[in-house]
Amino acid sequence: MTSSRIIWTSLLFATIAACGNYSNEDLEFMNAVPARQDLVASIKSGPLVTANEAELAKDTHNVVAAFNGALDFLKVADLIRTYQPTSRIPDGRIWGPFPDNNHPGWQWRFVMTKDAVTADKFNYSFDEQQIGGGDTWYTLLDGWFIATGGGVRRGMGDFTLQTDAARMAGFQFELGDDGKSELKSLHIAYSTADYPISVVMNLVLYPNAVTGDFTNTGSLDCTYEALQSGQGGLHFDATDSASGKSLSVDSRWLPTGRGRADATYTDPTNGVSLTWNECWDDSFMSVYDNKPWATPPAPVTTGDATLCPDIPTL
Amino acid sequence: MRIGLKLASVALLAVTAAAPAARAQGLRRFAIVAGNDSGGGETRPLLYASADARKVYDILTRLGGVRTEDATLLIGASASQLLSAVVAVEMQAAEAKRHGEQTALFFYYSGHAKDGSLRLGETRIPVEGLKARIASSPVDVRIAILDSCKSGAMTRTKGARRAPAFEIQADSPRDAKGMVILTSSTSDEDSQESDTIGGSYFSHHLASGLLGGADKSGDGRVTLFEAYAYAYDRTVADTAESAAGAQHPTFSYDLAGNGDLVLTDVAVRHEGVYLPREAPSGVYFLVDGKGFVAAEINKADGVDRRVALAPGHYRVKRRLPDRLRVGDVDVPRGQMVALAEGRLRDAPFSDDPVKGAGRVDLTSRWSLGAGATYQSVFAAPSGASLFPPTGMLAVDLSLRNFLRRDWVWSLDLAAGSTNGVVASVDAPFRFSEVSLASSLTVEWPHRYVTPYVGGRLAMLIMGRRFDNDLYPAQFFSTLSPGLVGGAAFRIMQNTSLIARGRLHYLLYNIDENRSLGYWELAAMVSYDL
Repeated sequence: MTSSRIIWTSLLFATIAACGNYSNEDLEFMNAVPARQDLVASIKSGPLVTANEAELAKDTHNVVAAFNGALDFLKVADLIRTYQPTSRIPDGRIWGPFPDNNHPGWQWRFVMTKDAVTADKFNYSFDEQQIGGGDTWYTLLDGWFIATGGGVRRGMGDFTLQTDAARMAGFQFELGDDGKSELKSLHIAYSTADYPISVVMNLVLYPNAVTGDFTNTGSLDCTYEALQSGQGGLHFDATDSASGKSLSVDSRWLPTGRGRADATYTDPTNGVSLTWNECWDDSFMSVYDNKPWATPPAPVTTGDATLCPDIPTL
Repeated sequence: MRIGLKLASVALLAVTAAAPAARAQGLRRFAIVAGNDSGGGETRPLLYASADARKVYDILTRLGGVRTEDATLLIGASASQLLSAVVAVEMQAAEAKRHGEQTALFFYYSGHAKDGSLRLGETRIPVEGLKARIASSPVDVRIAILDSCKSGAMTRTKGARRAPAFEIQADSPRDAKGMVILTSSTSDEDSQESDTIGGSYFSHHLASGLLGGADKSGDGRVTLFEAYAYAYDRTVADTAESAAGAQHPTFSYDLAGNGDLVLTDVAVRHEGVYLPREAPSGVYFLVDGKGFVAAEINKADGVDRRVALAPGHYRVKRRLPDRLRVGDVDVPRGQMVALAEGRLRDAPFSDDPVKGAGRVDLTSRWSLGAGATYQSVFAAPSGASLFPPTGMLAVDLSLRNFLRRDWVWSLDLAAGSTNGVVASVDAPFRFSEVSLASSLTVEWPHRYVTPYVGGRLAMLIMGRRFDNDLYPAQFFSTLSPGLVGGAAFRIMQNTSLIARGRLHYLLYNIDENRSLGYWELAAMVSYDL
């Protein structure tokens, strides 16, 4: 065997022998996958007996629960992050396809690529297809993330979940907790680059999907912000698409739980716009309540306004 | 016996003087030189058969007019490999003859022989078959030298007497014309090795003769007869008092029409040590830098001797009844250095450079080492972000002088771990590595320090776990070739401290193909088992 042949054979052997999943780039891709724990709203838990809880504190807790529930689908993303990519493509990684155990006959994949233009930007999509569906994939979720550094998954991201195309193809979505609604779309824009972190959500539901009504919709817009200390704020707007009536709530709280909320009710049919202010203590008991549309004999105003915490907007 | 030998020598010299010595010019010389320390299950391993073969190979290619492309050195070869080499040389020789060249084949074997067969490890070649094969080779002149026990069987069948087996066979049939056989002992004698000279008596003295010690005519050329006569005299003299009894080389000659053959030309290179005419007579030992006797020259009064040693440093010893005369001489490349008596000084027998403590143990032996290493990947920080610098604990097992003299084959195992961070995603991790490697090094043993260099092939298995299982664990394994060098410092009889460095190539091919490298420093303690 000549020397050159020995060298080439050795290199070939070394190449074959070199194997594994040891990759910094894989980590960068996995770092760009949104994590539910980074985006969920955090507020001190309410009292076990909610009868005495401040009304707007209770609403805030309920909306936080709904906000976080809407992010439950990100558990799939959390699952993806625990596995190495299935395949590596130039400037990209693919997880899957894997059978969708919750939807027999369907399979999913997660594709992430580096953006060709913007440095440190990753684009991704979560797709479903019927097994044997060839090249036809239905994109349920697509988004992007720009890593800014400074910590794990620090950066800015944006993703949209769209259900209509997959639903039309026969993909079955689960009903919401109310047993009637189904998700139409969810758009999340978030920034975890620095504090305060912010998550802006637009949630659109089919409220009567259980009856097969996929025309009427209801939407919820929420903006959540939080400091590392636990101080946070939630702004949400709820609108009834049929009547046009809306409620806009701006709720803020301290790490201890003490907080306040200002709710504005608007009825476009008669031009009425009223603002309700309520403050609560560390136990979420109301310390000041000014509700203009209180029904007598309940007083419009109770408590002491000076007990309201001064919580600057974030 | 001695009287008979002298008479035979005189008769040989007469023949030699009458016949014109063949010259290297016009004679294409081929050589097959084989050495095998192992003779299979029924024999004890020899210590110096391979070393003797190398020595003869070096002399033939350096001084014997054998071109390196026409010389084949076989160490530890099997019977089939030896026969294959014969076939290959025969094809070369046949081609040379077609071009009108006169050809000669020099066959040398050092190793075990028993029950009429050469023992090459677990394989055998019948002596008669080998002899017939060489006799039928398509060359003009065939010279076979066997240094093995009872090797005289090869000449006995030709009719040589037991001893003194110094006899020219003139009654051979015509088809055996052009063949000379030298053996180290008769058909019922053992061929002996010596730790003092680091070789077999016969090959040692044959080599010394070829280097110039046998140039009795003083013409700078050592002929076949001169070499044999010298080897015979010195071998018999050295072994006469040995426990195994005297060993008598044999000689079978049939070169009708060719006369004597010049085996080596010690003048042509003009390189080595020159013993001038006025230098005292006696046996001069020329000891190389490793403590081995490179040549043992028996100088007579009133004659000079050229000893064609390779460039290097040599210690010279001449033994007197009550003391030694020792000295040092450096042989530069292309120069013949005269050794005047004034360069030697008196020394007690305890300072004998041949039998002194500087002698190197040539026996195969194992050693076990343990210590700590520190390893770092080049191309930091990107390389370090992948594979952070790591301290490791290591053990190694080494086998010396098994493959060949001063070669060390080692297996080593090392393991270690450290902390690292993937900066791009701010992910701290725990890095672990295990390496299993084999290395082959060449060492230059001295009394206290033994430097060495060589090559190494390592199997690396590396992995990392991220804090809080933030990401799934990762691993990477690869083969990594590299170079190793260091020095062993002997601190006790069987114990050495070792300082070692390594340079390795590391192919990383997960994200992309990257040629990385790493260096490694180690401090070890090694114990000879």
